[in-house]
Amino acid sequence: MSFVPAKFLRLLNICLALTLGGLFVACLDTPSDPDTSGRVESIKVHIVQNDKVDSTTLKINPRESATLVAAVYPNEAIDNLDFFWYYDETILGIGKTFPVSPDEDYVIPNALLVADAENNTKKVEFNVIRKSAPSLGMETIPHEGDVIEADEFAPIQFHWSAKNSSKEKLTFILEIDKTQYNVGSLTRVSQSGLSVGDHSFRVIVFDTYGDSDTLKWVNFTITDPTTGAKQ
Amino acid sequence: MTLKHLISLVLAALVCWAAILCGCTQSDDVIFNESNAQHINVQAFFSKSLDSNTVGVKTDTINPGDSVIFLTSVYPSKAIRSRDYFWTKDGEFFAFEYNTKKAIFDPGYHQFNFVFIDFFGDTLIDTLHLYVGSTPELDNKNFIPANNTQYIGVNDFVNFAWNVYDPDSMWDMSHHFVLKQAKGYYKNPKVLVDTILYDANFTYRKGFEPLGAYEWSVSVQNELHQTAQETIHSTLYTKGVNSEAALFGFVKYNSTENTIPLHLWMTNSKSTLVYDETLSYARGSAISIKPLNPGDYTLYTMAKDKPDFNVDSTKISIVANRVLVLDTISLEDTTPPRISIANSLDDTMDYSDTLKFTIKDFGSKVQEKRIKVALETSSVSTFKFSNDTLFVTLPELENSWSTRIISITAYDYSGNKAQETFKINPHKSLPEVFSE
Repeated sequence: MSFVPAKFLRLLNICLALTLGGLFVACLDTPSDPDTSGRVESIKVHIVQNDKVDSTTLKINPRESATLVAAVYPNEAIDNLDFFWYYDETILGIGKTFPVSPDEDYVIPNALLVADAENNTKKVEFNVIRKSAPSLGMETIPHEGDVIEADEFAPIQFHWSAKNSSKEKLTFILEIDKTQYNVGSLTRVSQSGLSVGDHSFRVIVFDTYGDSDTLKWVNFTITDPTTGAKQ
Repeated sequence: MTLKHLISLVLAALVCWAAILCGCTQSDDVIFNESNAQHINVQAFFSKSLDSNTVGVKTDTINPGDSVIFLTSVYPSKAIRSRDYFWTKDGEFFAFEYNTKKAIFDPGYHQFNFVFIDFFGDTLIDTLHLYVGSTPELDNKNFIPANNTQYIGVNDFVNFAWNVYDPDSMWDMSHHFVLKQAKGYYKNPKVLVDTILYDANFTYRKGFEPLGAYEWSVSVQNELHQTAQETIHSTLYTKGVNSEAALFGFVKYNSTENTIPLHLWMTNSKSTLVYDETLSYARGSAISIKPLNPGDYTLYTMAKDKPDFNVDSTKISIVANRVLVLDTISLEDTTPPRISIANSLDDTMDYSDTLKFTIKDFGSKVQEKRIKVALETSSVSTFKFSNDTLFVTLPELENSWSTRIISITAYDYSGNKAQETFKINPHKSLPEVFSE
């Protein structure tokens, strides 16, 4: 049997207390919040064409040049970031903006990779739609100045055409003497109830993006089929 | 201190720590005892009234601005201790009350939660679903082709189009489109198209019969099953072959009979008979005369064997390829019924228990409910009318030694009035009465 010195025991007690206390304090300790200063909350791609900014449909007229613009929030962080414009896995350009030429074969990026100084990256995918507004053909039935013999029960045929750069559905509004008819995708209808005299009509076309074209008013005259009278 | 003491000291410290740790988790005071628990249940409903007995629903559809009543029930009672209760709408605070009534204006889908936090901090939630949508509007004045469009070719493709307005611009709409042979123009009208569309237009390509009448109709509802108040009902007519035309005529007449025999004949501008037909005409149907060559005609219409009706003559002009719809043919009965004693031309009759009279009308006919009988100034209700014969049952006559006057009033279906009075001979003499 050996003796342990009293000093050693006191030291042991202190160590034991410190160890238990340290363990207890360690349990209560939580790591501090990470440094979030300079964090980019969102990254978006805008399109600028003819000074108009589009950040929703990303639709451009293929016959005119445009610019893709990277936008980050908060904006203060933009100078500390690098921007890489991709088409699938191929880098097409570097920088905050990317010019788009009015060329059908021109490859337009579909992704933007953003990197900060610590090489943290974030990739945003997008799809630019190259599409021009629909346009109505000038040839219509009736033609401008047509004279039609018909009574008020006779169906008068209205016919028009429209061009669209894509296959998506177009919708039309036919306006006869200030009365509008939503005719959907129809391009030919027959309407009766038009009295003898002068009339006019026009057509408005819309695509699914809200782009539209309006035909100028076409004037025509209906005459009495028995007397030929205009009034 | 020995090493033995040291070991004892460390062991004692460990036992103390173990006791402290166990004490934190093994107190009987915090053990859940199911028998002490109280079950709480909350329910929320939409209701049509604040009466708690009313039937509530969990899902409802309203128009923007409509008021909605929110009802709650708490089991075992709303009087139990609770920390809080409130309503949320789409995750945002909405109301503090258990039951409340509020108008909801914003269209779309809304989720209402009734949140109940009990005394122990447990949260109970019940959820309601509300769809707010405006009823779609259908333009039943402007559509293509317009009502009564003529000259449609039998092989024409016909494009139908109509205007629908969704005030919310957020609900899909379905359109019930029906195209059929027009009722009244055909004995057994055929349905050509009966379909649900998701666009406000339809192209019909399967052709028509020449000189036909076709009805088409549209009704619209949105995906919340809110149906537009307006509907489209329109008629179109097809053209004939080789410029032939047709006449459809509707005959108006006042009569108790739903079918009457009609004699129709038509002459051209040279008074030559071009059409002569007797047919059984059902009320509301159309007489059809086709094909006809273009020209001017006079159409005569007469109710056969009903001389009280006038003979209608209508001048018409038939246009090539057109169906003329004539709704001005009118047979009018201006002659009142004839009332007489049955099988007699006299105006006096002997007393009998049942008196018989004849009421005849050669037009729109007489119904029992349009007959009145009076004995002098007293109304008599004991009568029956059958096969033009009126049976009047009289009780034993008072003052039966004197002549009595009975009057009969009858109206035909066209409102023409006839009134006749007749004498009833005394059936006892004054001495006979006194001797009794």
